[in-house]
Formats: sequence, structure tokens, C-alpha cells
Amino acid sequence: MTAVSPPTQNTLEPHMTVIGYLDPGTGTLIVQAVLGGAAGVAVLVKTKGRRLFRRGDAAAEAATTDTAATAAEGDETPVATGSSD
Amino acid sequence: MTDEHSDAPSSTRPATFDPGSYRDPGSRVVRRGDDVFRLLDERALTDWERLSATSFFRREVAAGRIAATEPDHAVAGDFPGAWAGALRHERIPVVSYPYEWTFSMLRDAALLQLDLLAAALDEDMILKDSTPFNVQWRGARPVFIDVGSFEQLEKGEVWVGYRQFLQQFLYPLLLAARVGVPFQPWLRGQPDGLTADQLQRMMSARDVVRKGGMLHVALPARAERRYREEGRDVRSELKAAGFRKELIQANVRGLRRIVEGLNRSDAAGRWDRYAADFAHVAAQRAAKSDFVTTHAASHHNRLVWDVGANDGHFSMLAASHAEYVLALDADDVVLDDLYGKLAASGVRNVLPLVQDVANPSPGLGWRSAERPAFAERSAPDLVLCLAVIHHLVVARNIPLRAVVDWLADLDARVILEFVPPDDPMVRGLTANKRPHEIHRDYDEASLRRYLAERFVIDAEQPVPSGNRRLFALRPER
Repeated sequence: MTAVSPPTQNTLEPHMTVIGYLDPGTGTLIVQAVLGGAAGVAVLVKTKGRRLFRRGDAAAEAATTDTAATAAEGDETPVATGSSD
Repeated sequence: MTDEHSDAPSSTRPATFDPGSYRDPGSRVVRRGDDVFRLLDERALTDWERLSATSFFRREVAAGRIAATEPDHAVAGDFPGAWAGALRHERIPVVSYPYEWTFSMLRDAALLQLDLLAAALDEDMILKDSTPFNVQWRGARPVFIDVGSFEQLEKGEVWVGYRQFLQQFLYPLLLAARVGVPFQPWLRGQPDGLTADQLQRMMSARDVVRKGGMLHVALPARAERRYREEGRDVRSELKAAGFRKELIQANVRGLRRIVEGLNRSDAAGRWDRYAADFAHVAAQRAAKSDFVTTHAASHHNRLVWDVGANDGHFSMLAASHAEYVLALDADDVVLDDLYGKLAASGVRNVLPLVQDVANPSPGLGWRSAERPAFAERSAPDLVLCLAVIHHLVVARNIPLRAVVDWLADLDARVILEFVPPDDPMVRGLTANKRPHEIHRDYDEASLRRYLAERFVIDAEQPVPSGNRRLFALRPER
């Protein structure tokens, strides 16, 4: 009888949001709000997901706090899509 | 069909945990003899009870789109571990993987996944993952096998499997349909699928602005870059911000529209007009068909391999005399046409699989055992090897003796067509090779010498026009 051990969370990168046994991907989770259409945009705004639509380099962005980022120039309004495509 | 048959009752036979079923600690597949069980922990058992009470589950099982599943909790105690319950699943004839499917097969599997997800959402359940490895085939009909993937949808929860759906279903399909690159080698090399960033780098600006490109490729790629370093609990944040089921349902509807509209790009196919383009194919087919029918019908065949199946003509002949037939070909385009033909026909026991016998699927994943090699998943008792041998020996430079040994090691009866060096098709293959670059023993006399060492020739006959020859072979035991 062969029992295969399940992977432990220790083997995963520390920055991953691990809930359940599948890594859902932080960024892709946030995208889901947009894909729900106009109703999702409100959710996106509340979760500070607006950062998704700002210009600027990702590394610099990650180093900046959300408060500072909100004050940054080049803010774009979230794209409200009527349908998911 | 990969398991040895035995008269011993299942309960006395050794049990093995499925090497591909370890990711979900609460739901594991175990095989014992011909039986397939799924062991459930407390939480998974609750989800099962909820699932079995839904109307969509009964409906989809009856339609054959979810594998037939019955509770069999008494067996749970037979296996190591503290299991709260167990289910018994129907057996799938031959297990196959997405890197062996054609474009339309992956697309149909994606549609099945989305349809089941939509049906589950209507009854407040969700599929917690979305991998094509949860889909298998009965002939050309997809069947969802991972009953353990359904769970209750908590209020405000996101679709955790969305990224997996993108990486393992949508991106491979977009790669083939929009970029014109077959997805099979990519999925074989990276079974977790393509990342948004990888696909975006391969797409042209025009591809990105086409349907689905912005929202499901460019946006997730950007989001993954932007939120890469964060340890935020986005799931809770989204829930607090008012995320709800309707947002998932809108996303699933949109994805379905995109997937439905995707068509394969035909750039890669070379063999899709084989029967129509070559006069010899039509002229010789009648005689070959008679020979194949006679020697396929002479035995009961559980599993037939049709190597180099092309348009599936001989696979379909064999299907009348076999429980199951694998139509194998390295050309995904010609096989995709066959899949379409089979899906529309009444033939239920032919499965087309993209498989180059000179480079068959290896064992992949954790310890190379998670996804077993092709040969470990299917043991044929009859192999059709028609108009293939010259491709192996002349085009791929595999020694003739090695090809005979490979066939003999399959331990199956073989219907072999020998295509001699003076055949116009062989001359086409050798046009750009010098004589010393071709194995010198590629001739009928050498073939007979090698066959004599490993096989008994039950019957043989010439193919009309030209010097091709058919052999019905039985392994020497």
C-alpha cells in the first residue's frame, strides 16, 4: 500500500495566500471583482483593488503603501464593464 | 483496463492510493482490484451529502456527465487513515490526460467544467478546483470524475479555482486558437498550465484585444505582478466588501461565451487530407479493411491500439470487435477531426489520443508517478500498425529490430503493414537523406528475420498495387 504524503504549507512560498489546498493567486482573486461587471466595481473599490488600474512599475508599487499610492498621480478610474467581456 | 484481471474478490486484493489524488487531504481516490473508491473526511462527507441531495447532481449523473457514484461507507475502514465515509465510482476505461487531448476535447472539457460549475452555483455549491485532470472520457464523451471537488459555497466567497481554470483550460485553448501553437507539448511540460504572463508574452497586441484577451489574460497578468509580494487575505477582504455569488455567475457566463467561440487554428496539421490526397490510400483501403476485420474479429479484444490512426477508418472497424479502441496519432489536427466525427456518431468506444509512439507520454508530476506514463495506463491486446513502420524506421531512424521488439514487448497481437523501401511514400521520406543515413536493414527479408524471433505469423497477404504486405502476428510466448 502506498500512501503519498500531502504537500505541507512549508513548501510553499511565504508570500502566497494559501487557503484551502489550491493557491488561488492574490492578483487573480482581485480580478474576479471586475469580471462580475458593474456590480463588481464597488467591491473592487472597497478592497483597494484600484491599484490594479494605476500606471507605474510593479516593484515600486509593491513597496509603496496604499495610502501613498492613492495620493500618487496617474490615477485611473476603474473600468466599469457591463458584462464580463 | 490497466489493472490485471483476477477472479479474487476485490476485498482481498491489494489497495493503492491513486498517485494523482493527494492534493485534497479530505478526499482521496484508492483502487482495489477493479473497484475505485473515494475516501472522505468529515468535511468532505458533509459536502457529499449536500451534493447528493441537489437536483443538478442527479441530472448530470443520469446524463453521463458526472461519473456514476454511490455511497459505500462500509469500506472506509478497510484503508489506512481516519475516514468518515467512502464512495464507489464507476471505472473509466482508459485514463488520459489533457496533453493527450485534441483542441476540441479540451474545449468540450472546459465547457463541461463551466456547465457543472454554473449548475452547482444555482444550488449554492461550487467546484473548489478547475483542472482538466478532473475530466475523463468514455469514447468521445467527457465525464467529470472528481465528485470530491464540489463543496458548499459560503456566502461572499470567491471562486478559488478561477486562476486554475485560466491556466489549465482557457490559456492552452487561447494558445492554440489565437497564437496557433499546439497546447499539448506545453501542458506536458508544465501540467499546471500556462501563466497569464507567459501567454501574454506570446500574444500579439491584436490577440490581446480580441475577446477575452484583456479581461482574462492582460488583467490577471497585471494583477499577479502588482499583488505579487502581498500576504493579504484577499478572500476575507472581498467578502467584507460585498463579494457575492452573482459576480461568479457573471464571470462563468462570460467565460463560457469565450470558450464556445474558440476554434482551432489549422496551421499545425499535416495529415488531415491524407485519405483524400493520396490515391493509394483509397485503392488499398478495401483490401486492408478486409484483413483487419478478419483478424480483429477472430478474438475478443478488450483494448485495441490503432497506431497512426489518422482519420480513424481502421479504429472504427476495430471498434465493432473490441470493448475499447484508442485511436493514436501524433497529429492533433487530424485527430481533432476524428473526435468531431466520433462525438457526432453513435460510436461510443473509440477514444482519440494525441500520442507520438516515438515519444509517448512519460510519467509526470510528483515522483514522476502523479500522472503515469502512457504505457502504464493502457495495455492493448491488439495493435493495429498500418502504414506506420516506415515513419518510425525511415523518418525517425529507429532501427527496424527495435520497432519489432517494441511491438513484441506490448505482448499483444499485431496487424502490421510493411511499407517497402521502393514504395513511393518511403521514397518521399528519403528524398533528403543519403543512403548511409538510413538503416540498411529496412527490407522485408530483415523484417521476417526479426519477426521470427518474437512473433508467430498467423496470416499474411500482399496489399494490391505495389509491394506492401500485411501480417497478422501473435506474440511468441
